Amino acid sequence: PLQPRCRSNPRPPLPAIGRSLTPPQSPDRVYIDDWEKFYDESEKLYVEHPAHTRYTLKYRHTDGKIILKVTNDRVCLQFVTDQATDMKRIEKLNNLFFTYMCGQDPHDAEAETADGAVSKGDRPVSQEEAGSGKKRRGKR
Amino acid sequence: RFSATMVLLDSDGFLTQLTRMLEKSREKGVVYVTMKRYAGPEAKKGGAVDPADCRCLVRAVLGNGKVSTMIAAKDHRRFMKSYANIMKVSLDSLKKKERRRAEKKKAGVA
Repeated sequence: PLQPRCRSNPRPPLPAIGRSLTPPQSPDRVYIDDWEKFYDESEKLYVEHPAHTRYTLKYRHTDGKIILKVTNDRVCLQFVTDQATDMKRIEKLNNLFFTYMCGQDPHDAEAETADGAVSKGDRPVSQEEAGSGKKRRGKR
Repeated sequence: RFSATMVLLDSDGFLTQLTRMLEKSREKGVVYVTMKRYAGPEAKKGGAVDPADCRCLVRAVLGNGKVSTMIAAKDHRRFMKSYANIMKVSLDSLKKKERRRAEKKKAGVA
C-alpha cells in the first residue's frame, strides 16, 4: 500500500551524479525573485538529475500570471511573473530545456549554429559571403 | 471537449490542441505545460542513456483534458519555434511596460 509522501515520509534522496546539490536552506518550495538565479539554478538542477527533473509552466489568462516550476520532486524552484517583458526570458528557458531533454547539449548546439549560419543561411549569398571561403551550395 | 485520458499526439497535433486549450481558457481555467526528458525503454530500467533515444515529453493540461507529444532531437528546433509563437500570441494577459510610459510622461511634462 502506497504511503502518501509528506514531511514525515519524504521521498528517498536521488543518486547524485557528480557533485551533490546543496540542500535548500528554506522550506521545500522556493520562489526565486531574480531571473538569472532561477535560470542558473534550474539548469544546474536538470544537469544534476536529468532523468527526474521536470519543467512546468502554469498560465491562467484571467490572472495574467505565469508560474514556472522546475523540480525533481525533492528540490522545487519556482518563478512568478506578470510582466510581458519576461516572455523572452521564458522563451530562452523553454529552448534550453527542449534542447537538453532531446538529448542535446544546448552549449554545443549554440557553437554549431554559430558556424552553420554563415555557410547555409536562408538569405541569398552576398558578394562578401561568396568570397569567404566557406562551403557554398548552388550557383555563384 | 478534451479527453480525460492522456492523448499522445504528433507534434503538429499537439500544437493545435495546445492552441485550442489556450483559447478555451481565456475566460476561465488554467493551462499547464510540462516538459520532461524521456530517455528510452532501456534507460527506464536503469541502463545507460543513449542521446539518440532521448525524447522531450511535452504535456498540456486543461482541467481534465490532457494531451502530450514526444519531441526528438531532429524536430526540436521546428517545434521550439512553433511553440514560442503560440506562447507569444496566447500569453497576452501579462502586463506591458506601463511603468516606463508613466515615467516618460512625467519627464515630458516636467
